[in-house]
Amino acid sequence: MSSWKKVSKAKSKQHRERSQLESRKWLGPLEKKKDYKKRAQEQHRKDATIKYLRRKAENRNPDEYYFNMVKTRKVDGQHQAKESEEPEFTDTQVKIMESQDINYVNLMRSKELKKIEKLKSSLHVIDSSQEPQNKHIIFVDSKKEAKNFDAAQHFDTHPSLMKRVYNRPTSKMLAQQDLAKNIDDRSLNKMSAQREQQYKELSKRIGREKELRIISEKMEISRHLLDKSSKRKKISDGTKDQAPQYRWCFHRKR
Amino acid sequence: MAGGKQVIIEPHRHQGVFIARGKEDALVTKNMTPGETVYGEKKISVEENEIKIEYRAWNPFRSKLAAAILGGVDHIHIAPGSKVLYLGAASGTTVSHVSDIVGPDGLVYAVEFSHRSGRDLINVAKKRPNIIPIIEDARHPHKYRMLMGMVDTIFADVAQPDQARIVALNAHNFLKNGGHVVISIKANCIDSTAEPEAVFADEVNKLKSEKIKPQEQLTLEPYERDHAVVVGVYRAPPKK
Repeated sequence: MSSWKKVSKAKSKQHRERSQLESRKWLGPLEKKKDYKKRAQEQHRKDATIKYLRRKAENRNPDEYYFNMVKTRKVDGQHQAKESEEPEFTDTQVKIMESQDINYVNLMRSKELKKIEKLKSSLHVIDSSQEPQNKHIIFVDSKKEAKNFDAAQHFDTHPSLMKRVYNRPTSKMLAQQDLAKNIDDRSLNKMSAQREQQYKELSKRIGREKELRIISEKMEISRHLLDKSSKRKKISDGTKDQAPQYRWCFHRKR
Repeated sequence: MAGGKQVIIEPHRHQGVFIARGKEDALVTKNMTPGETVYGEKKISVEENEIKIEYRAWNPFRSKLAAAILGGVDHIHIAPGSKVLYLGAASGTTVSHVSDIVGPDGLVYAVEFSHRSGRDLINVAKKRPNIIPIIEDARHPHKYRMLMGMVDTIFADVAQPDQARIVALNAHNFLKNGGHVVISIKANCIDSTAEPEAVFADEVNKLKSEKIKPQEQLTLEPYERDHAVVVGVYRAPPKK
């Protein structure tokens, strides 16, 4: 009779799941039995816990001794385990750990220094757009000569090239130089982009090396401070680019 | 070459010196011994009309002469074919570049006192026939006078308080009349308490008293701090 069953099922009315009414949408999705069960169970669990704790508090013996009375202390209204009196590390262990950290920082720093040196060997800060940073004195024989001094004439170059300190071609070179050296714009742009990239890397590495140096100095000072036996005086506080400075009492070494 | 040209070589005002612009941004000299480097510097090869030319980067952060060139010095008085006496050659790093500039027709007498760096200098000279290494104190030029001829230029980078005297002694012995002197001065090494400007002026005066007429003076920022290069002429012929 299964075919009959199928037919009757097809004919029967379909009962679809009810959803929340549009007018009651603000209440959220419509709660179903299984949702209610979940909520009610959670509520009962909480009630039971509160009841259990209340019982426990009522049955508490005020004279009873608890170890937590001595093991914890209140910090901002919260009980926290006290730090143990026994230090976790001995002095030597701390010294070894610190020195290892310093060694690591120094290693990274020397790596950085090597990379900077390598970059600097082929990036010579040649830039004609910047104002020259150095000072150039030309000695002449008399005051009159100094008064009539024409720099471009003295250097035998074009006046517009005077700022271009890294290379001021002589007038003879300018006359015979073929400026159109068939270099296309694309490769020129590519080259300057690559160069820019290299300079950026260099400046970043220099910055990183500086940070590492400061860190290493600060660590070194803190390592020296571990030695409590010798007297010292603070000269200046540490800043973000300097380690704190101390002066130690001089001890004669025998 | 794939990807177009990688580097542009621009001839410099001073003969034998070039500027390479590409990924690098470097002062270079033409390598006299292609394929070999002296102190691990960068090599830049360029192919022009099927001929491969190799250049070596010359680091101005390590060489005072390179710093002076990039700083815009008027004359270095070192050109292809000239004879140069180089005082304070150290390991021969800058000397190798000077030897590149003077080429096979020129000569570089490289004087260095320290045996340790002298050993490196000799190794450099083995590969380059135009370098004559002299491991001797530059204060006693008579000790190496038998090795020397007259020179066109003296370059000094000795960093000693009596630098001017050392240069003058060598100039009196080996420099031709009207020859030139190029001195790198480190202010700290002459007098660490005085102002650098005062130290430079003092040195220039010392040179004047030794018949070396100063022509130009140039500080080496941004490559070195409190350094200057002074160029002078020895026993200049009177002006007409």
